[in-house]
Amino acid sequence: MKDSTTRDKYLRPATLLILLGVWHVASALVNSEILLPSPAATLKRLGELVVTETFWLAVMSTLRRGLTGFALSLLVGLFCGLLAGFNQIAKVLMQPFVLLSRSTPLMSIILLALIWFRSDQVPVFVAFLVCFPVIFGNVFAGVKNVDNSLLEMARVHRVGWWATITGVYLPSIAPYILAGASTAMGLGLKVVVAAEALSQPKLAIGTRMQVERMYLETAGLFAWTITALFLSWLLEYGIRWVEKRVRGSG
Amino acid sequence: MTVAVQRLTKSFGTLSVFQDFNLEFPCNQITCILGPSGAGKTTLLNILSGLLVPDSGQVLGLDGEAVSYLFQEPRLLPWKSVRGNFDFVLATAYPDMEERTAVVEAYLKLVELADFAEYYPAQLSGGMKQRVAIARAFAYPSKILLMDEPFKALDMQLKYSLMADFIELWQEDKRTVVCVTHDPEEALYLGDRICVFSSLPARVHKEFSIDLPRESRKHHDQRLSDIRLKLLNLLLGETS
Repeated sequence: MKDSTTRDKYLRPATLLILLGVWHVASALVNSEILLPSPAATLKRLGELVVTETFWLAVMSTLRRGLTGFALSLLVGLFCGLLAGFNQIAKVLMQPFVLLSRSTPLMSIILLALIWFRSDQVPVFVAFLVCFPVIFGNVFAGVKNVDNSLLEMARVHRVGWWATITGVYLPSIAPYILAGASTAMGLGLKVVVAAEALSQPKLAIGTRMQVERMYLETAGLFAWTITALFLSWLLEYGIRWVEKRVRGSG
Repeated sequence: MTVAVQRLTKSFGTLSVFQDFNLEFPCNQITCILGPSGAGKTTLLNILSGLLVPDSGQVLGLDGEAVSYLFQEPRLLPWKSVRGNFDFVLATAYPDMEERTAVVEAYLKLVELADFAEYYPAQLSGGMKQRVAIARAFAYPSKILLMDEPFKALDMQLKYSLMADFIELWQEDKRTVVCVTHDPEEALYLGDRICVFSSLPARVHKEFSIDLPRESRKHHDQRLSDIRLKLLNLLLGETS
């Protein structure tokens, strides 16, 4: 174990270097800053962006939309997942909605949202609709996988319903919720940026990408992409942190 | 008041498990129920505990009171410490924190696990976990204690040491015990009375009383040997 973790520690920066190397060589071969900008040009553009106020406002806005959509889907997904897990009728009633939100093409959702909502609300709605089935499915699976023998033990000893929920249900569903949240978070940020590129709110990573594309500033497009990647890494890290704390408290 | 089931009828689909079944469980005695698999032993415990509702008939002497139930597996919450597991089950009976802590300490001491209150089940051995479960069953205030083969999944040595622990606890606090088992040796060691069930629909095929003190049951005793032989004949006769 220890060997592999120390090896990983050296391996990770190494893979990043290899990636940069491949990118650099490829862009030198293509030899066109419009088709494939070099890492150096991208970093330079990123450096220019980072010092502007608009950059941070755009990042914060996108982050806010992503988190809002995620939080909504977490709340609604948790509620519906629990309900469907406990109640057969609720499960049957919810099935078409879950199926619809799971299989409707992303573009249809975005285009419809453009008709229905204000431009800065569109990404939130889209993120919610994309994340919801993921959370719902995980919570539902969590409820179904609660150890029946423990529930029996609680029932025989007349443990109250609230204590049963907090003592048996929640701890056994928690890993499912966290796994769902982790997937949904990554997914959510991606679709938020996609929706922003089409809905064009004033401050947004997606909007900025679209603008860079219009001016054929491919280096700028890459710089914003790196920003989005960094953001999603940060969020993933945040979830891992929560996960560790939940595990730690047992 | 003696606990008893009266005119009990229960079937699962077309399978009739109990048909007008009667049985008494004398106060402060250990009644062992012995019989082949699928003879309705666990069903009886589940009806006594209220987990199952009989089709007709009734349970007398419990008035819907809670029971202690010792399962084949320890059934501890893996995300709670030993103390947390006691708290989970005892919170209603002992709402006062201080009193509850004292009860938990006392019972853990009796099973020699006082130093392990803050351990999680995954950190304990199988035998230790079952000892926690035994202590939990006794710590839970109830008139009757139900046991569903709690010593089954253990090796011989551990089994006898746990049964000795169990008897020690029981001597301090003589609850009415209903113990279901496959194993004649277990019944001979634990029981004041042994009921052998027939195949379905269940009846009490044969009943034995053992009035030998438990300390002497490990040694050779003619009366015990006679009962052992009869039990084996009955059980083997039923299955063949």
